[in-house]
Amino acid sequence: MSNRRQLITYLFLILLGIIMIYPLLFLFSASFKSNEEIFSSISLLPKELASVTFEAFRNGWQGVGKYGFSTFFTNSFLITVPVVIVTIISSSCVAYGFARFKFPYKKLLFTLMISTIMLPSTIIMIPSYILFKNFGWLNTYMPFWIPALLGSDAYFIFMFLQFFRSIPRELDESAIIDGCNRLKIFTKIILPLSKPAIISAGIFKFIWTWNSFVEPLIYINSVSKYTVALGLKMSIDTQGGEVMWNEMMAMSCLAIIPPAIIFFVAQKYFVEGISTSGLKG
Amino acid sequence: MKKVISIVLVLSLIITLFVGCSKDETPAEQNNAESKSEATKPEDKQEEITLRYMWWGSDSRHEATLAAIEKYEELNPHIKIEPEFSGWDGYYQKLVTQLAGGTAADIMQVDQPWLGDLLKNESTFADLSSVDTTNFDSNFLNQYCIFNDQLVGVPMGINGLTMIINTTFFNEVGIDYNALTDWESIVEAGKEINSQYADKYILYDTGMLFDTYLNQVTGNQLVKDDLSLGFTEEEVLKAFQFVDTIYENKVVQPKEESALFKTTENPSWIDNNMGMTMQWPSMINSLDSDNKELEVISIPQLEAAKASGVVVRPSMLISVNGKGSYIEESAKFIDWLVNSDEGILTLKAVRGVPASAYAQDLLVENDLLNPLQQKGVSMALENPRDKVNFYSSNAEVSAVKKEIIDKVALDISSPEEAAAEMITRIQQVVDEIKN
Amino acid sequence: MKIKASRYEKKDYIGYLFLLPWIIGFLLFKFYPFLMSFYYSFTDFNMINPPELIGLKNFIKIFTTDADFYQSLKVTLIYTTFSVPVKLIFALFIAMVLSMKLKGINIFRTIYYLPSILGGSVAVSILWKFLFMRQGLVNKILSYLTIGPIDFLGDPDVALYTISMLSVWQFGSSMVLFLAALKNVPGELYEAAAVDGAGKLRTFFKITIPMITPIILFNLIMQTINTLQTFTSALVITNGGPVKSTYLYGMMLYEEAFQFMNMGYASALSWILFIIIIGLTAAIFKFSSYWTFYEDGGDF
Repeated sequence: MSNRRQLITYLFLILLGIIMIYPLLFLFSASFKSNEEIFSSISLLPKELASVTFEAFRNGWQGVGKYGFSTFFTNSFLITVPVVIVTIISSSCVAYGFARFKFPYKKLLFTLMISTIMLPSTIIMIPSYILFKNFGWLNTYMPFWIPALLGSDAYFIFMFLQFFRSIPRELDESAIIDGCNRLKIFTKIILPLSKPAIISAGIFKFIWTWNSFVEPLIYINSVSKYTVALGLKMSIDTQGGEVMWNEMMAMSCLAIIPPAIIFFVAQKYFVEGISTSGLKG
Repeated sequence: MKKVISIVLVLSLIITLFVGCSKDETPAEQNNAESKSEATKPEDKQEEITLRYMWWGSDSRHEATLAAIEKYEELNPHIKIEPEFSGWDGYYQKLVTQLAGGTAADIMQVDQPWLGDLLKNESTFADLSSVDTTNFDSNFLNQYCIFNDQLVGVPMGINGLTMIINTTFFNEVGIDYNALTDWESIVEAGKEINSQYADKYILYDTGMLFDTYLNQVTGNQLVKDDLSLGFTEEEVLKAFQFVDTIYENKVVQPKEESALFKTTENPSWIDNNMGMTMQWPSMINSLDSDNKELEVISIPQLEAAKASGVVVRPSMLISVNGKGSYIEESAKFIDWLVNSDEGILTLKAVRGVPASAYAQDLLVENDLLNPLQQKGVSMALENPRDKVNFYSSNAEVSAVKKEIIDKVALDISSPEEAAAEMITRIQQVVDEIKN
Repeated sequence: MKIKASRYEKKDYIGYLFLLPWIIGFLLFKFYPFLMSFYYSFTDFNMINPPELIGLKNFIKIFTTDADFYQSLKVTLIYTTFSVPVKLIFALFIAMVLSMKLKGINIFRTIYYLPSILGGSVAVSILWKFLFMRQGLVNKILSYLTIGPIDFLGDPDVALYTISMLSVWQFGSSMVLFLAALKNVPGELYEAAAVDGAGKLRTFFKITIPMITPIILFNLIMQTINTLQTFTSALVITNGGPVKSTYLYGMMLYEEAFQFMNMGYASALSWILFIIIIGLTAAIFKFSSYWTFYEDGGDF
């Protein structure tokens, strides 16, 4: 790439980067502002730089009563990490079944599988709630873990399927000649070739579970089991209670750190080995 | 890897089987087992019981309520109260889901407008007649909390519509707010202010102006108890003309801007560019900030007003699950919260001005009540309108009303068109309710 | 390019074994809620009392007297047709740029993904209002160009597009999938193209695009399904206003169910949406056979 082109590319990336990251800077700077200032100025610098303290972080972290954000972060990890792991295992396993086997009613099952994400969750909420109640799972993390273990997220099954289908079948064929069974093909050939897909699925599931608000709100009663997403909204009352917005903004900043770190660490897998020979400037 | 997958498959099977046969119940559920409401236990045995108490709020309310719970547990060692608190977002959805699933908490905080829907089932809430209500205004209780001769909830606070004044604003523009006792003078003053300062508006329309004005015109409910409309096209036209006037003349901030913000978040209000807003006294603390001084005055009146338009209602109720197993113990706890000195002083005014006169006085004595809040409520109580019935505060009625008001404010409809639309569309909703 | 069908063409019942987790999960967690919501759609159900069967009344009301239904359907279709293509084209373009080997590129990748991590949080809604209100940052910039001020969120003709921009701004997940797909394109194809002396554009259209069509299809379908149901941004920023101009279908469902307590009616509405989504998805699948290329021979 010539130097000039590189410069133009960087300029473009930086300009767009500013648009993308501005909100986060706003969030961070709001942690140091008073309530009034958050809503009356868009400037990134708090009015009184001299009085900048980390008070909002300290107070926000303590939360209310016995439970603060150290509890909420622990809980969020407790829900999210197992969910991510079992989602990857079960979804890829089901997707492999769809991708590489021929069996009766395959099309029908595939249609059923895809259709499970087509009914808005608002509507399935009540029957699902009653179901989990009958299982005795309310106020536990079972409603998150078990459905994930049983591949209830069709999004990821379909996603793995699309990736698996771009892996040539000749590879399977030659493995069979080498005496591999079907499970071995899956673990030795298909999965290793799908690293980017596995990483993407892990990142997405992590973030979506981490951020989900309605499900934890409905299924969990005890504050000791609240997640970060619940903790963030726990102090917002639109009916007259005073809300400490700066503490909320401070905690929002902290809440995006784990997913951001995970993305930053995992991203090299998307680009490792991308051949740029065809894209060279 | 091969092992992992086979293990997962086997596990999933086992879990399925296990789930299929297990009849485990969480403690929360044992409380709510719909079955036997256990016979009252002899006092001497004092069995350990756990009550679940659910409420929404912000930090100060959570802290005060938790402190009260702790005190009560000290006084009654055999009782444990499990706090389930959250913010306002999603609270109603959770409550409804729990009621549908039969898993609601023993003690619940409920907003008054919800009662219309929640009372469609008679056993939603238990009768709280065992709670001592001698310090509450019986008229108020009869209107808002007693249905089918049952006290379905105890009011935790009292709210009355009041006009909150930003005196800093009025000092700056040099107008005496005490003279603003009727709508016309507000419109006149508003025009003048906006012609001098393009970004200043005398009034903040929080969506309650229309109702107040219409009630003053008709003296009626929006939808009467017999499900007929409480207004004629002519009457509602007057109210829409008023809306049109204030937007046309920049008496209020253009809808395009004000629609974006919740009352307390509006930058124009924070920066002292708005003079007054009709609001609940419980909002005073969040409307206040370092750069302004607030005051309250009474609601402006029409010359030939048939009613005052001043709504007075409970800020929220505390109710007991009618299907819970510890109705009596829950009622005792509520009684302690609203009547004992310790309960009152611990809770302070985190749920607005208390509805019990005794509690109000006690808080004032101890400097725990914002005097402006109290002033606002007592002003409203001097001249309240009749209770807003369930049909008039019905969520669908309100949604239709809001949409038509917005159309006038945004100049999409003329007042005449709006009045006609209001008649047909509210009638539609009412017909639905009838069926 | 089709690979001949081989010994795979026998009936392969082991496949069911791999599907087992999902089949159990479906029977346990999906089947009952689906059935119930279908049943609810023929009832009057306020969640406080047991459902009452009322036949087709809900559906009749939807198609005859409910003006909001047509309004929100229109709004949702505009929103979807605008934001999905823009988002995907943008995501693909950025993914191409970000797959270059430049110094510090991984920082940029993370920055571009951050808005998607934020999701529909309270902070985002506050920020969006601040950027687009009359005295907001965007209007300040426009005023230097002597344009405006525009009421991005207060004007019924504009608000929907402003909300769509929020969805476009969170293009991160599509971008990640494109990055992953680009990684899987075999390098030797590019080398061969270079040997043939194909230009960059040609290489892009003849090699890159065909090789990532399965993921383009996946993104297209999933974004469409998702966008037709989504309503967080409209709920937290404009609350469906001004005058129902951002009243997305998902929001109408939510209001009917949890604010008006008409769960029966909301279920009927959602089954209509379900049919629409199924139809659209089937159409995309059908149409995709003309442009999607699978390495596994394309038989499914």
